[in-house]
Amino acid sequence: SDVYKRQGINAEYGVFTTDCGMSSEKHAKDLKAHCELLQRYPTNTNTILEFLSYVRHNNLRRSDLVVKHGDILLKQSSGQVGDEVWAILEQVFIASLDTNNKRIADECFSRLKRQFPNSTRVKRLEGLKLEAEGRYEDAKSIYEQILAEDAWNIPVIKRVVAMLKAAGKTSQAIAKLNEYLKVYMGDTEAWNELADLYLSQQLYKNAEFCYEELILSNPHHPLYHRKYAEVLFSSGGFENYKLARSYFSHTLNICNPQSPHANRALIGLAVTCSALSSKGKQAKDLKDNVAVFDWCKKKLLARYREKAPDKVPLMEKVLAKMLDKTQA
Amino acid sequence: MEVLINNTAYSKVVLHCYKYPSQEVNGLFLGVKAEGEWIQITDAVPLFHGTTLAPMLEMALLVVEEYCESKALQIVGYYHANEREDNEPSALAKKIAAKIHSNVSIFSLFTIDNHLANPKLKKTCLKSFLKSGDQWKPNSSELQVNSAVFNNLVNLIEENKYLSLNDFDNHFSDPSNDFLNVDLVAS
Repeated sequence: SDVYKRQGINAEYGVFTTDCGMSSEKHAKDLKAHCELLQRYPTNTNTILEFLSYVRHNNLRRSDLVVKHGDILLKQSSGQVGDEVWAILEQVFIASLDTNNKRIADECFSRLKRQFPNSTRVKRLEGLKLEAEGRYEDAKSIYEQILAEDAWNIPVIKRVVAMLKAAGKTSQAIAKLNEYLKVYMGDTEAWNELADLYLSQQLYKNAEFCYEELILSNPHHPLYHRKYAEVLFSSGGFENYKLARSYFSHTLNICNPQSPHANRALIGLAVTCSALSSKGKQAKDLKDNVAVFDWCKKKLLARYREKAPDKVPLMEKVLAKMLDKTQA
Repeated sequence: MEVLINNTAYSKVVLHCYKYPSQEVNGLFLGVKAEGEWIQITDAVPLFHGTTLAPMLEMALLVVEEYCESKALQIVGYYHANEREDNEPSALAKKIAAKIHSNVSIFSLFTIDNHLANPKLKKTCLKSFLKSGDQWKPNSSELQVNSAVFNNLVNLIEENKYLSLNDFDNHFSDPSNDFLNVDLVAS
């Protein structure tokens, strides 16, 4: 079966796979441990159950392994699985859509349909199946049927948005998501997805608004401050650079120095100081600019010495050139 | 203009696509060129997956430029794979390519035909575009990739080698992830 399938359908374990690339970093170590166990004991029921559960609860996306080992598990008639089998069937079904494995998808779906013939949840899966087959109109009518009876069914609304996104109808997806957020304004995942949609259209101001909402509801989370800073920088201009500098700095204040946020915020801060210096007269107002850049440079080089010593000479040159520009 | 690409560079691009199949990916091509005549690509440096934002892009460009200087190489191309199946160079791709082009002349923008990325199809998935005034026009000369490369790629993918590929996103999150990906693709 063809593992590689590029489609806009964010075939999901949760709803979207928007995690700004962070959760996969966080889970990398644990996931690696699970994968190693799976390699050693590919047919062991317990190992597979633990892996599937880990992936399911953390909304990760390793469809290739889920299909391979999920299929093995489902063929075993082990008493160990119990009621978990339905969640696993759903998980393997979605994963098999992701990897374009029609046989396994059909098998899982028929088992679920037989067990829960009138379930809305299974109906939504039917919609997913149609989407995977490219039958967007049919999928749309299934979702509309569900929404006709339950207008605020969250997973289905999100599925409608995902489908619009997959079909390239970005402005409609944005409109629908905005409609959803008017009601469910606390949905972090949805704000993240909306930000991504705006960024794909380079609508920086709108994306900034999303990150502002995220910061307001999660003021302790470094990710949103950092992404906000990145979008401000992308918007460009002296005022935005100044603000970006504050937000990168704040990220460094509140994040764990070992986290990926710290490294990226340091880089963002260095680049921003460098950009500010090229703004001519106005930069004279920022007397700390060079000092801040220098601080970043020291911190970054310390990290490189620790983690990638072979890259230190390269980074020293890059930062030296940026410093010259900052001091000019 | 004739464009030549070696095993290492082509493989890294495909592996980058396989690592992030549901997201946009982009990266740079390094190599040598002859004014107005040809471009020879000898390596690929994967940049980002998902949304590309200015601060990280600027830093990545500075680092790659410095690296090129140290190895007497140049940035000769920029590749970009869209999130969905449409294969036209997106507005963002053109923007980034134009930015790089302002520093480096004789430069090609490559888009990846998502349908052809699977090496089992033995078709080149890269389409090159050259700058013509304000626009990017398709290069009349087609990229040749020999079949040994495709066979090697099929094996690499089966061994899940794409999981070990590092792009600049991975590198900026943790500097020990090497964006040069040395030894990833055995030539």
